[in-house]
Amino acid sequence: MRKKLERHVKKEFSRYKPTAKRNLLRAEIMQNVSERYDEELSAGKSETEAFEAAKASLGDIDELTSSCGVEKKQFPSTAQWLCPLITLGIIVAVAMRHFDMVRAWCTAGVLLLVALFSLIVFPRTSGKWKIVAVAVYALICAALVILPFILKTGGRAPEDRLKTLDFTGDMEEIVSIKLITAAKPSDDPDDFEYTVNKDFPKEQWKELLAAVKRLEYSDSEKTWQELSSVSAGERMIRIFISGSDGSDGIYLIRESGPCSISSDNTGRAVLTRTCICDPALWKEFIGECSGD
Amino acid sequence: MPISSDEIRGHTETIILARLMEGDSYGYEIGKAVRVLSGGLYELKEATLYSAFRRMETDWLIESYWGESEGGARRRYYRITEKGRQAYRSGLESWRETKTIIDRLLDRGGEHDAEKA
Repeated sequence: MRKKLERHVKKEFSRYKPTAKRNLLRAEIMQNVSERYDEELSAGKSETEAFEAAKASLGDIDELTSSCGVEKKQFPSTAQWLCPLITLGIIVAVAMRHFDMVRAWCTAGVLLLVALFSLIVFPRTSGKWKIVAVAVYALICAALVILPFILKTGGRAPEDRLKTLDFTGDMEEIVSIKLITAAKPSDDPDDFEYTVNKDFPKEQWKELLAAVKRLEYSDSEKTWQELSSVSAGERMIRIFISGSDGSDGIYLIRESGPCSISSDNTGRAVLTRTCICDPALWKEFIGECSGD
Repeated sequence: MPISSDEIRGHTETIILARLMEGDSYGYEIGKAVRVLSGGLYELKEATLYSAFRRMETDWLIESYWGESEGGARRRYYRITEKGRQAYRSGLESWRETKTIIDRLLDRGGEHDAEKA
């Protein structure tokens, strides 16, 4: 019964914020209540009667809140729970629309932490600091919603953002070409143009772009083969080529060449259609790319 | 008949100061003394007691210190200050005046009640 009494006192105080003041007060009152219990037992009462008497001697702990500096815990209201969850839901939907699954889940994880942070911080703030906390939370959420639109990039597959140039010529090897290079550099190493630095060793260049093949057409072999060399200082662009035999791959071609390279309204480099639709021109173009 | 806390609420501090006038004491002992002296008709709950302790400490009517209990555990003791003594005398005087007024007000009703009976 004594343990039960202790649990009762602890439970009564559990509604208040765990501070040193609260703990000291609880210990002092626990001592008194325990002595009352012993007194009732000494007076011949049963354990249950002594427990009830000691429990009743506790009174209303809420009386202590104002005078003893004991503060009640504040739990988030329904609105405080709903706001972060709704925002989280919207932002995850936006993130998944623009990012691949890995990035979407990472974004969702960060946002969950932000939502939990707001649930902890908001109840503890008041006055102007609550306004500051709400403002910070709103800014973070707004930034995360706007971020995908600002970046306009992500880990999505290149095909989803490509300008597809369908080749309808009679070259057997090529059925479609997708431009996956833009005029401006990107953080994504799989995309956009690269400039080969003079000091950049070719071997390392090859390692970095292990999935990328440099293309050249071999007359003798009647096949597309890798470029044997690149020159320092050249600007290369990548294209994705699908072969009629079902093979496909990502290739680099030199920007300089017979075809024209221009930028569309978004600043992306564009290969003109006529250049690649003509197999002969294409072959000539590729031929210029091969070997120095 | 047990006395409700509402009837004595305004004099809780004076009651506690009265106990401390007799000597330093601690929470449980004060509560027990009140219970015993009132013949079991009035009990100071722990919450009420400690709420009053904190108010009186803030007002410098009492001060607390840590001492040892019989079992050797630490216990917080309270002692009355000079300001507390003055507050006790003031509270006692106030209670006597209140009692006189209420006696006068209620005795009239008692007389009429007796006449009718």
